[in-house]
Amino acid sequence: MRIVVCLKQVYDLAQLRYKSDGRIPLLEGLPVQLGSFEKNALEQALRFKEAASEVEVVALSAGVGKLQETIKEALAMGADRAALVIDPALGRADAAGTARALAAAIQKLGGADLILLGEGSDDEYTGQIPSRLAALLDLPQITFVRSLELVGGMVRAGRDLEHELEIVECELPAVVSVTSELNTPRLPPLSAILRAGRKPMQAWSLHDLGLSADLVSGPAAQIEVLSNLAPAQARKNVMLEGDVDQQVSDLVAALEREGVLP
Amino acid sequence: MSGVLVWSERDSLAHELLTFAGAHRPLLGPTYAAVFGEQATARAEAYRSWGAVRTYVSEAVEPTDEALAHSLSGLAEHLQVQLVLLGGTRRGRATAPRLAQILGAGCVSEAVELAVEDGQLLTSRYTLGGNTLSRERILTARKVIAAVTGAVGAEPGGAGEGQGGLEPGAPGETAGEILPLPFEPSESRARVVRREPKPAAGADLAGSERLVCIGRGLERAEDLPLIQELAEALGAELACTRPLSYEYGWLPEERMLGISGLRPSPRLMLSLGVSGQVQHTVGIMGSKLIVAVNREASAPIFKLADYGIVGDLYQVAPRLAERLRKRPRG
Repeated sequence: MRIVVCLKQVYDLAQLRYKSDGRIPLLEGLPVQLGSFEKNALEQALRFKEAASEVEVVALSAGVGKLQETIKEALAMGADRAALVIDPALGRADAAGTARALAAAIQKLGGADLILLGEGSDDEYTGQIPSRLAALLDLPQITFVRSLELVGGMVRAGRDLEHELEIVECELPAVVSVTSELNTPRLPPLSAILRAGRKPMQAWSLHDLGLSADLVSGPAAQIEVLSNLAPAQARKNVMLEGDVDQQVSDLVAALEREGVLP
Repeated sequence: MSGVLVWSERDSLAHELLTFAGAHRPLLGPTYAAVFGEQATARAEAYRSWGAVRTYVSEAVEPTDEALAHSLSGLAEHLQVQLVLLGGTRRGRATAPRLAQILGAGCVSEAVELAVEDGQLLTSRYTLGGNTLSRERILTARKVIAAVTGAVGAEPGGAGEGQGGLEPGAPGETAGEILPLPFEPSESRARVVRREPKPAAGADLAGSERLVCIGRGLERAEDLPLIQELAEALGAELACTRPLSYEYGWLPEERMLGISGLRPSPRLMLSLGVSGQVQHTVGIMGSKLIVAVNREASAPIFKLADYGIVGDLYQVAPRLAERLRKRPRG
């Protein structure tokens, strides 16, 4: 069976800085890395591969620049090969455009028995790709999955909702999105990192997939971003010093002054 | 195309969205609702008083993303609505993009604010890991939005705006009809074989004036009484970060604050042993006053704090509880 794991190259937000006003994010030159939720999806695929014979794990990603470098981490973790869609137009694509490129790539691969994704990406977090991809490929979907089993030709998933846990089953092929509680992704050993560059990697342009730039962004854009700013925050930032009794006593006094005690 | 179709498996959230749609009727057109699942017909009664001109009911729609998206797209086509508004629960957020894909619609899947400005529908959602708030406009003629509790600024049943403020329907129109779904719901390829409710919190964090939020600094579930005593002395409800709820299961999800949890606006947020990852701090930024206690002076939570104590919560919490208990009230 073939498992396609869709992975996104995301900004390393731990290094996010702002313009001097403190509200405009500076994205230019911000380092990129493999998204964290996607690593949970890949880890699950690798566990399936280890538990059964004849499972192929394909790491699929659509994006711009540096993607060939970023995807190596997925290969080092244990994916058999990588398939990439690289096109400048994808840098401006919204969720609908990206899903379109991923769907075309999966068709180009000859389909998949199981498509795994994270519940959302670390940076954009629209959470739309799994559902849009399932609709485009006309496949059933199970989302927000925190436990997953393969049972014959079926998946059985524990779906984590706010007030309940659901056990959901469906026949393969299917699209499944996972939460970070599913597992702890492995850290690849150095030897695997060194070997990763030798694994097969295909890279397609949109044209190779029978798509044009206008079908994933530009005139295809469904969302206009009017502004994207850090919320304004004005805090006092008063640190209470001294030993713990002094700190607690100063805190009670401060809370009294602020009028927030009952 | 005109009109709004509202659905959420959480009735109170659907009522909020109906209130919003009703308030913007000149722009959005008539308001319709869908109610699926157990007791659908009985539950639909309440929707009439929230302004739904027509409420479509079916108990036969499987609660999977696929089945919900198909039934809602069928209704959206049947009614020729321009907007489908879903509750931004996990179920709603997963259903919305599938529905949007079927309808050829642009979609915002987790709107934390929904507003009409200059005759345009605008949404805000957190992005860049919760660091920024993105204000967006959907460009397609048909739109799908999943909005979280509080996004429309209306708390049904709460003080101020509410049941009294809205009359069902408009003059000249049949008010509050309840109708069966006008087609057979399609079969779902995924099937829900079992449902287990999570233990209920029985707490209303959204309405609390004071919250004590505990993070990974708490070492064991057995130490929770220490925090509960402090919360009691402070007259506060207990809240937590995502790992304590989803990962360890020490506290129910109804007490979880953050991008995937609650974002309440208490007068006081006392944060204990919380490092301050942005996915969490999104949930506390609405607090009037933030106090943080953490062992690490470099913890990002201190940047958000009005008052900070670098210290061990195991030492601070019991002393603070004692001081508060001894304090003269009134």
